[in-house]
Amino acid sequence: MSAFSAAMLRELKAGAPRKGVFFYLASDPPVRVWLGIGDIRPGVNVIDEFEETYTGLGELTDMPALQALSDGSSEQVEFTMSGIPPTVFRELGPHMREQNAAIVGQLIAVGWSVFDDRWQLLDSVWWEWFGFGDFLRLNHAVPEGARAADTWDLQLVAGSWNTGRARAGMLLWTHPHQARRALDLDPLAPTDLFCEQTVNMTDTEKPWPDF
Amino acid sequence: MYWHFPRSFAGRSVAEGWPRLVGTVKQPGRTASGLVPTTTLSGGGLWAVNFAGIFLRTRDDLNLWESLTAYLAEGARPIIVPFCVRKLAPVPIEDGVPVYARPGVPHSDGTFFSDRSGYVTPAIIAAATADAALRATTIRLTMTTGGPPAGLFSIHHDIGPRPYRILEALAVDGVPGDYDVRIEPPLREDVTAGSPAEFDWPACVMQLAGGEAMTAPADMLRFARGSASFIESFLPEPA
Repeated sequence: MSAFSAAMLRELKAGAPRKGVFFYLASDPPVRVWLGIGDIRPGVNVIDEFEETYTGLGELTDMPALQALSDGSSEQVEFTMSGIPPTVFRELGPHMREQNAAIVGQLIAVGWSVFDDRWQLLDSVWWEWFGFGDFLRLNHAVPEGARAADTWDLQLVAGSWNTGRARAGMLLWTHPHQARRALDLDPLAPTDLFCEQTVNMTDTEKPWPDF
Repeated sequence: MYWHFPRSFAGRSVAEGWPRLVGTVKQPGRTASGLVPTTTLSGGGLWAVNFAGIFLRTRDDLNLWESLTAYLAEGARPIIVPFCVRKLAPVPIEDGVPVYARPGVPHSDGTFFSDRSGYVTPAIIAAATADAALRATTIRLTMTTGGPPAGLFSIHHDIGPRPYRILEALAVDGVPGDYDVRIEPPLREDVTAGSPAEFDWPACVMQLAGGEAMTAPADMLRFARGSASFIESFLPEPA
């Protein structure tokens, strides 16, 4: 993937007031959705060899906070789709096991791109986070009050390549922790210095850009 | 086959009824200087419209309202909702008089349909001059009748009619009646040259905004004031 274009840099410097967030799941057929409304064809990129259509129905409600760290472990994240009518769940329920089989271990990618002030994409999708599907979960929330509407949503739980049930999540961002995590991953390189300076950053105010 | 939300109901909405384009904005927080940076993630926005105070007086009105309520199924079925924005429409002015509607045209033998209506021509005839791609925000329109494009118009896509709001219309040099029109939201589907643009009665495929979005509290169990709020829908067309 090439570097950012001048137009894209200009938008990014301005705080990128118009952004598109894209989601890809390599099931068969692949799931392509984005956070916006209506269809979009973002063009050829690392994942899409040909021009593909991403549907946006406002279906994907929000993106989870994604955490990735070099040599570290990552959390599980949940992608939530809501706005699915209960009738769909009735159809979906019996097939959850099959659906699960179809997504386990499949590639999931989250990317973004920037629009110009006429809502034209300045570049194709920049895929930022890659993970693998783990399991599907139905979530039915009944709020307090008889007249409040139930909410149904479907959650897809995913992890990145270094998420594992046996591996502890990021609890403390300290050097000893990071060194141990690095050792787990690669016994030959036990000294990952990523968090070495953490101790200098606690309880002090760091005016930026003067450190 | 889509049902249509009756224009008579939409036009009778006394309190509201103006369409809005709703976006999703994320605010990361306020800076020390008070500037609040924002990021729009909706990619152009979603149409929404509320109707309130639709007076339902006759038995037919009330029955129609009931059947619509049942049909809409609390948002599970889409319907075509008219946008009553005739006030904005660039109606043609003929002999100094704005023409909002033309009289119905009879059959060749001079007779009308059994309900005494004729064939209807829209007051404003417009069409796309050139192809436009999915998510384009500029489209070239030819106005056969009517003034420079203004207000709202809708295009009938494969996914049903979708309205577009005009930011500006620039006349094309040397081609009278042609305009380069900037629109929002971005086109919901590809448009081929010659697709008509509906200025008279823009419409949108919509669904109820929620479970309690369509109500008609009755006075003395005889009259009712209906209200309904709709949002743009991407549900498949009902069979």
